[in-house]
Amino acid sequence: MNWLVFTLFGYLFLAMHQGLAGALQVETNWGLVVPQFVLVYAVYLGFFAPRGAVMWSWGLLGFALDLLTVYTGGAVLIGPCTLGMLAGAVVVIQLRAMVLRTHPISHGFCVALCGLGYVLVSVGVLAVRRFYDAVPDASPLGMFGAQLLAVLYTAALSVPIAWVMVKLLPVFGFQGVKLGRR
Amino acid sequence: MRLPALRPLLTYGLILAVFVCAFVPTDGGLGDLYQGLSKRLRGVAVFAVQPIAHVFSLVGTLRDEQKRPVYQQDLVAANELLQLRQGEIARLRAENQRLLKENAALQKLTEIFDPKLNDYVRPTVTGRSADPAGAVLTINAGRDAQLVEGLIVVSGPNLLGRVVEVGGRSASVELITAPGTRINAHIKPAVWPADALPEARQRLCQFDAKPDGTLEAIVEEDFVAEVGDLARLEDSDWPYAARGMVLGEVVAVEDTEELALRKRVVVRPIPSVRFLGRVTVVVPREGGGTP
Repeated sequence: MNWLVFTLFGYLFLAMHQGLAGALQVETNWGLVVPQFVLVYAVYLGFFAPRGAVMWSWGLLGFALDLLTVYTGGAVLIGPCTLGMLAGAVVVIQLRAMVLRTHPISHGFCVALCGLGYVLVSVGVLAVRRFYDAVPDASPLGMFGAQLLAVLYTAALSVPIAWVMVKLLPVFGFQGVKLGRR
Repeated sequence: MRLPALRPLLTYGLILAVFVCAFVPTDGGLGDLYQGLSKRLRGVAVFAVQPIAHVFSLVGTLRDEQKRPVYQQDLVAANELLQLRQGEIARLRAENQRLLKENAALQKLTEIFDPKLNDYVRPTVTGRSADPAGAVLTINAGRDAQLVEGLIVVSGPNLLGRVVEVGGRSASVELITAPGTRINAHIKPAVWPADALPEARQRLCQFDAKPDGTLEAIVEEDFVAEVGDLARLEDSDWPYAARGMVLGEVVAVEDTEELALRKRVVVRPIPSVRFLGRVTVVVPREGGGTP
């Protein structure tokens, strides 16, 4: 995998995550639901990158998400998203052998499943923190509901994005990936 | 130790560090240090991402401008406010109509009664004739107030009648409703339109006074008159100053049974002359006044 291309696209997806949140957010009973574009990119990497690169790239993207997430009182927590993304990476490595990786629907499906792993771990960490710390102050159940909806929302949005990203496979220089019509 | 051997150590070390960071409390000495460091890192991340994120956020700005969320309670509140304002508008319109009417009457009055040309005597009504119509009034002004026969008697914009007999300190006024009175008038809308009246509105009609105190005219079927219109004097037998004054308001426009292709217009003087306490006599000045 070309790490420079990974960085450039990572930057782009983080900017989308940061910039499009206001435009695409949906108000629900659990709070605002915001699409996680980074998850789409991470699943894309998880499909085609080597196992080690998947773990590192998911970890880095999770770390970036941690830095861009602010909790009550302006607190910044490093860990919940990173650990959640590492859990998601484990899920995607297991799943990628079972799906047609170049099909956009497969991306949507895996975003939902990996996202579930990500949400379970990240909200789990935050839920544990509530026992001894003031951050976060939101209910874990509410956070889980909102995050789960966000993952489903992202899964729906990931289909067209994945269709474009599959066309860009040669740019990333993944080894052993062949594109062509059957 | 070779570098490949360090790699798993580094990886697990990092994972452990992240794991520890995830559970470090945000308060206390360690928490302050942790938050200080993480907030600095966040500052760098936001600074780096912000330029492109700002471009993406413009999409959100466009969406907010084109499709603002409108909530039902806002609509209900706006609707109530609108209904309230509509009521206020209806009230102001009615008030405007009333003022237009009053303004038209006053304008007509100033045209007719130029204060430079006429004097106005305001006598009290001291008696009424015994006939059912009460068609003759006695007023407590006569030659002492320069009254002469033929002067018109008014009440605001309404024509009441004219002086028919003058004594030293009293005079008799025959009202327009006196039985046998025949008087020509135009029927015009209560509010005078800015444009000229149509041909159908220019026709004269002849009113006859009836014993019940009303004026009645038989007109052709195509004569235009509506309830609420005003009858305005247009009769050469009356002094010029009285022309255009209000005889009364049209209270009925009905078909006649005895005459085919004719209809009856009934006018009731306003206000009812039977209950007036004071009237105004228009006295032209020497060298001026109206013919």
